[in-house]
Amino acid sequence: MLKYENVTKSYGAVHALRGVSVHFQPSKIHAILGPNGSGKSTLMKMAIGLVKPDLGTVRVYGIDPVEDPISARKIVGYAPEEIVIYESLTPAEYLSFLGYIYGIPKDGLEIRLKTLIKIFKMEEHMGKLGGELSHGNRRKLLIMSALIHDPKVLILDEPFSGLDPEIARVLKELMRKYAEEGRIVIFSTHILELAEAVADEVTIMHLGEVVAKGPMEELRGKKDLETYFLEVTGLTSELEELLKAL
Amino acid sequence: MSWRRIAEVVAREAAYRSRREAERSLRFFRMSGGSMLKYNAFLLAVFTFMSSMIGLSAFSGPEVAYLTLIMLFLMEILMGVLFMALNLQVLVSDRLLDPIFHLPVSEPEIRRALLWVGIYWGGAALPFVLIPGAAVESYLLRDPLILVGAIMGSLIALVLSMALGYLAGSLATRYTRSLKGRAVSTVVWLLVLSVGFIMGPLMDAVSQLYEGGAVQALYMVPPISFAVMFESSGALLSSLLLVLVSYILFRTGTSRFWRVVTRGEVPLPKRPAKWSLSFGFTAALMKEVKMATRTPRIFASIIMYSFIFPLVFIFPFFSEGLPQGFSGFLAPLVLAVGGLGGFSILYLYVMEASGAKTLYSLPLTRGRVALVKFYTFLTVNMPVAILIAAALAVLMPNGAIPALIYLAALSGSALLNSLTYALLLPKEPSHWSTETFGRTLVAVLFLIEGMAYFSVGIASLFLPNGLRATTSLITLAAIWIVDSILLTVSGRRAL
Repeated sequence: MLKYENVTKSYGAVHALRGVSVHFQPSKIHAILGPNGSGKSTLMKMAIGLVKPDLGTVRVYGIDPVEDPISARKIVGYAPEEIVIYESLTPAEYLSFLGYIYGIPKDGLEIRLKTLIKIFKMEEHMGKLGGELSHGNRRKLLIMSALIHDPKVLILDEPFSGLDPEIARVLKELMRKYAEEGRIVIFSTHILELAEAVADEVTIMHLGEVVAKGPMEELRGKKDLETYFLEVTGLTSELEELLKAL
Repeated sequence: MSWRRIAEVVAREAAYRSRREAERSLRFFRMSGGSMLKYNAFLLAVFTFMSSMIGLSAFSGPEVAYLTLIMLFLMEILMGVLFMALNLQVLVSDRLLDPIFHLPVSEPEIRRALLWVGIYWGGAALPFVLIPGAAVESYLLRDPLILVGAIMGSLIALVLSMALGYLAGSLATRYTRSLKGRAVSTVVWLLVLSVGFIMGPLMDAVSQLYEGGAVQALYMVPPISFAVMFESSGALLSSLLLVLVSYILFRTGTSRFWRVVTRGEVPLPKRPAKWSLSFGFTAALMKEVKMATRTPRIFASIIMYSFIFPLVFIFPFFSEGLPQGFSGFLAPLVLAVGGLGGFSILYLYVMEASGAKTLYSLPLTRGRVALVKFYTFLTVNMPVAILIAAALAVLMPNGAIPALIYLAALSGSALLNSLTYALLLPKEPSHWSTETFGRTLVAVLFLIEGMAYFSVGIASLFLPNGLRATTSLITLAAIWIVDSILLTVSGRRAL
C-alpha cells in the first residue's frame, strides 16, 4: 500500500501540500484530479523520494522513500509529466541502460523490452536518436521506462498527454491489467472523462489539500464528475464570475 | 524587449537550469545575476594580477617589454576564442534561443544579445589580460603610446576572438549521425581547447624573429603595431590589415553561427535506423561512450587532457632527455600530468545535460554514478595512456616506475574527481552542466589539484634523488585512500 500521513510541503511561501493524508490501495486504478498547482505532481514525486515532505510521512509498501529512496525506486515505476529524455541516445540504448540500472537479467530484459516495443508500436523508432522522436513517441518512451522493471507501484503523471487514441487505449488496458495483478496504479489527468473511463477511485486535490476521495461509482452517484469536481474545488462560482467579467 | 534584456534572460536561464536545486553551501560558486558579476570580477582579478606581474618584465628593457606585450595579446585572443566558443556552444546545444524566436523580437536585437551573452560569461574581463600589463610597461618605460596601442589591440583581440569563437561555436550541433561530421568537429574542438598550448610555439617564432636581428619586424606585430602606427607605414598597414581581417572573420562567424541557431529541428534519417539491445554493464558503458562521441565538444574535452598534457610536458623529454641532475623529477612530473588528466572526467557529467533529470527517478547511488563515469573515462582514455606509459618505460632511463605512477595518477585522480562531482551533484532533478558545480568552483578545484601536484614537485627539490619517486608514491597512496573514503560515503547516498 502507498500511504501518505499528514504530509506538508512548501516551496518558500507556496504551500504545495497541506497536511495530506491519503492511502492508495493495490488492485485499483487511482486517478488524481486537480487544477494546476494543486499538488498532484508533488504528491507523486514523494513516492520515490524526489521531493521530501517538510512534515508527515510517506510509506511505499513499508519503505520510507526519504530514508531509503533506492529501495522505493526499485518497486515504483514513475513517468513524470515533463518529457525529459536523452536527445543523443536512441530508445534502444536508453532502455538497455535502464535494464542494467534495475539489474534485470539478460533473458528477462530481452523478452520484456521486445514486448513493450510491440505494445507501444515503437519498432520503427528504436534506432532514432531521442532528439528525432516526436512528442508522442517521447511520451511512449517515458512510459516504457516506467514499466521496464515490472514495478509493484505504477505512477504516471499526465500519461495520456500527446498519445494518439490507439496508444491511449493500449495504455488504459495495460493499467487495468496491472491493477488486476494486484499492483497500485496511480495517474494524474486534467481530462475528467478519462478519469471516469479508467479509474476505480478518484482523489480530487485543490490548493494542496485532498478535497474529495472515493470510488468512482460513489462519486458518479452524486452527479456527473465535472460538476462535482468544480463544486469541491470551488471553481464553479469563480468561473461564473470570471465569465461574467469577460 | 531590448537586446540587453534578452542576453540577461538567456544567460540567467542557462545558469538557472543547472543551479536551481544545487547545494546551498555552493551558492557562492554558482552563477546568478549577481554571481555573473562575481565570475567576471574573479577573472578580472586573476587576469589583472597575472598581466601586471608579466608587465614588470619591462625592467629588462623595451625589447623584452614588446615581446611580453605580444604574448599577452596572443593570450587574450586565445582565451577569448575559448570563452566564446564554449559559451556559444551552450546556446546551440541547449537551444536557449528557441523561446526568443517565438517572440516579436527583431533579428538584429537577438544578434546583439548574442554578443552581450559572451560579455556576461567572462568576456568583460578579457581586455584585462593585456591592458594592466601594458599599463605597467607604459609607466616603467615612460611611454604612453604603449598603453594606447594596447587598448586598441585589446579591443581588436576581443573582436577577433569573438569571430573565431563564433566559427568554432557554430560547430556545436546538438548531435549528428555523420561519423565524418563528428570526427571533424572533434578535431576542431581539440584545436580550440588546446589553444593555450599553441602559445609556446608562437612565442618561440616571435623570439627567433627578434634574436635574428629583425627588431623592426616586431613593430609590425600587434599590439606594438598599434602603438607605433603613426611612425611606421609598415605598422600602419599591419594594423589596418588586422582590423580588416577581424571584421571579415567577425561577419563570417556571426552569419554562420546565426544559420546554425536558426536551423531548427534536426533532419530525420531517410531509412529506419538499425538498432540492437545491449545488456549488463556493457549497456551502461555504451550509453556513456555513445553520448560522449555524439557530442564532439564534450568528447574533445574528455580526451584533451590525456593527449595534450603528455604531449606538452612529457614528449619533449623522449628526444631530449631530462636535463642533467633532474632525472629524479620524472616521477613528480608524470604524477602531475596524470593527475591533471583525470580532471576531464567532469565532462562526462556535463554531457548528461537535461537528460540527467531522468537519473533521479532511478535506484542509483552517487557512488554508482561516479563509478560508471570512472569506467567510461578509463575506456576512452586508457588506450592512449597505456601507450604513453609504455613509451615512458621504454624510452626513459628508469622509466618503469614513472610509467606506473602515470597510470595510477591518471586513474586515481579520475576517480577522485568523479566521486567529488558525484557528491556535489544537486539533490533534486536538475540539468547538469558546468554551471551545476559553478565555473568558479571548477576553476578552484583545478587550481587546488594543480597546486598539490606542483607542491610535490617543489618538495622534491629539497629531497635526495632517491626519495623523489617515493614522495610521488606517497601522494599516489593518499589519492587512493581518499578515493576509498569518498567511495564509501557516496555509496550510501542516493542520487
